[in-house]
Amino acid sequence: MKKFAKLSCAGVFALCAATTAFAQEDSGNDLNPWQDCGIGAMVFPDNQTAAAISNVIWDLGSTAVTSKTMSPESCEGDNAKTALYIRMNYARLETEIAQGQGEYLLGMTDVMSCGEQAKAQLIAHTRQEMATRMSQATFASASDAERAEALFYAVDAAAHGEFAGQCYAS
Amino acid sequence: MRLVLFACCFLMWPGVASASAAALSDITLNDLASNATWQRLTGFSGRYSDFSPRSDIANKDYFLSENGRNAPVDELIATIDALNADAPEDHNEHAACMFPARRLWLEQKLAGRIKIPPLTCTEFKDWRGDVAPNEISIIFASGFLGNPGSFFGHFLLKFGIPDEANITRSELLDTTINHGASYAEAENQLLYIIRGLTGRYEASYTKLLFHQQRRRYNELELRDVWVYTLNLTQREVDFVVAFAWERSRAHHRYYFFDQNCAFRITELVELIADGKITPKRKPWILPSDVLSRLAHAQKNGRALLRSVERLPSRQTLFREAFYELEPAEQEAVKLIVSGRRADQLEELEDLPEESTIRVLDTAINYADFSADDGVLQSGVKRIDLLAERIALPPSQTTSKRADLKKPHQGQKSSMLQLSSGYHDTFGAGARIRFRAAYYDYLSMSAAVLPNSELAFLDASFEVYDGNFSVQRIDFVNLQTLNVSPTGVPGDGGLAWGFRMGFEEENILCRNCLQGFLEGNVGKAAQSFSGQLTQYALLQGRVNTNADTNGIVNLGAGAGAIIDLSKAVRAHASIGFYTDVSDDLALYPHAKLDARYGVSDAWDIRITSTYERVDGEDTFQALLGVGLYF
Repeated sequence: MKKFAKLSCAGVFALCAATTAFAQEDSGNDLNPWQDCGIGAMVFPDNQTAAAISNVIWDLGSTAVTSKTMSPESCEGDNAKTALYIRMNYARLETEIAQGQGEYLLGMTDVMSCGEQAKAQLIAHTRQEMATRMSQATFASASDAERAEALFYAVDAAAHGEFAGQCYAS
Repeated sequence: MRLVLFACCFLMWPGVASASAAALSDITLNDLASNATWQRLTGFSGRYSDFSPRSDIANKDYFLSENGRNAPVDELIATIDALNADAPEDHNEHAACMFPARRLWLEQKLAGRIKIPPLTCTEFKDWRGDVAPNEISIIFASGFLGNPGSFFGHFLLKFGIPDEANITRSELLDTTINHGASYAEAENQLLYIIRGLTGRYEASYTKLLFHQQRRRYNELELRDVWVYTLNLTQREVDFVVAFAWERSRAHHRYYFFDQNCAFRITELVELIADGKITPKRKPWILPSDVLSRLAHAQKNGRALLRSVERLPSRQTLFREAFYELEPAEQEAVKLIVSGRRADQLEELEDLPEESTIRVLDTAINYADFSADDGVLQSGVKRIDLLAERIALPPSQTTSKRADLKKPHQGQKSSMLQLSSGYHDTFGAGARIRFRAAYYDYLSMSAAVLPNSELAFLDASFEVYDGNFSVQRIDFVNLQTLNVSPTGVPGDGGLAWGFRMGFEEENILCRNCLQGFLEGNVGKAAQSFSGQLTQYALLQGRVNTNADTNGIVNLGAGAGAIIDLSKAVRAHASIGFYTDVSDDLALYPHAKLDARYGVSDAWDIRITSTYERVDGEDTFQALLGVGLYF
């Protein structure tokens, strides 16, 4: 898992330093779906025209096969699904984190298989983390993909740390 | 636990008794093959766009019989025999795994006479998910003018998963089934329309999670999404899910007006309905018509529709949140969005905390749909709004408007209008107007773009003094005023329109049809709390006949749409055009239309028209009854 954190910090942005502490916690899973499953490199339509003509099927398995980095099965775990969910819905999640609640945030906790009690706690925890990040100058200059990656590392580390046993439980 | 047990039974079927197709009489086989459910299972829809008595399913390898695409009875015999066959090494290749809906239906019809070996259908299970869906909804994404293929809206099917014990499950993770045509991203728009109308595209079903669809429709295309949840038993849900799995291997020809997304998605649900949900007598299928029929559809005497829910687009959320604000809060939002200084956020310090939260939430919603680069017109950055907001207590501004009409509650899409009137040159006369679809500025439509017109095949015929004439045939008429109801800059845009067809050169001319292509662009605004919408447009037009109006016309116009009451709406317009290809003479014109009525089935309209033709002022007035179906 240390390798995971180093890769993250080297390839992402200085803001990552703030998350290193929990990113280094051992999740018991060496897969970094953001990088190994090609999620960071995914391109999604971000305007009306592109969405209207896009027939892209956003599927983790096929992406991994395309990138030839992992087997499709490796990218079907809960944390890979969480990474994809965050990548796809980051703008919405960012807004709801700022507001403190919302259906996309609840959806994220569902993807992470969190228990009902852990959902609210994880959302509050994430909001606290993001409040710290948003106050840093580097946050505003980071791209959506970089901010999404940082959010994934934050919630993934929390799920394996503070909320171990309550999320990724099934 | 009951659901889990059912799921296990469904995926691993022990056999009970045996029967081969040869053991069944021809009468039994023919009865089964002509049953409406078997016809639906095998794709014999009998729609107008395919005149041959073949299945709609285009890929021959979908069928178990060599002749399955042409003969339902052959496919039935092959299916019965295949269901009774031994399990292959890969269970997924057994007919019971490939055609679980056929299996469910035949087991019911041939009770105790089908023997299926124990099977584990892993591919079906992977496709369906570990937990069997317990709810089915038809999803309607409202019309979108950014793509001709989306003018009338789009249908999806959604499978809902039950909540686990004490854990509420987000609907965003539900599976959705889409049916769409495959075409090149760089497809020429004209070819796209022609091929879409004539069935030149291959179409198939695809599966995505609901949050992926919501991202596209709510967030990117800014379309409201409506969830029509069906009132089904668990067995009926299983039957539809199994059928959707079967159809995931099917390919169809895509016809924009007929065998389209609305037809194909509804077809999956029709499997368990009493009768057809798609319109039987119309040669076109529109989502609004299907929803209207769905609202009245039944299954064994119970209503098929359980509930209707709206999921507003990001733009709708912004607008509805804006309406809820106090005037001072609305001004604060406008300052943040379009004020002259990037430090507008400092103004919020004068507001109470609750107000600040509402203002920030509304401004963030605005930034989410309008600020592509994350920077508002004022220079304020979206990220700064988020940073301000996250420092305040959690809460979320929500708006649920209960008074909105649902898509199935609007006027029916087709219109037949009968009018009588007076022409100051020809005297008394009559007009018959038929519009295949869909709505105009005066229509009582629901869940369509406000202050817009979308018409296909809109034709008017007149009789004056015993002489019949074709007055107008609009093949397509698309107008949108794109008004900003909030008055916030950037919410809304340019008004624009496009019309193409044939019409009389002017109201004085009879039997002088000319082809035309017309476009306009301008700006619209609203006042009196949205009761009045006014607009101004620049217009351009090309005619096929130079005799009266010339080949190329330019002009300008202005108009207003006013809601006088719930039952009365009027549209007045005035303008002129000039023949730039010849004498530059000015041709003024004016029109007043008004509608009375609140029914989805009829209305009464008056139409009065003024044109100046060859120096003569000419008037026409009509009073008509419109019937909607």
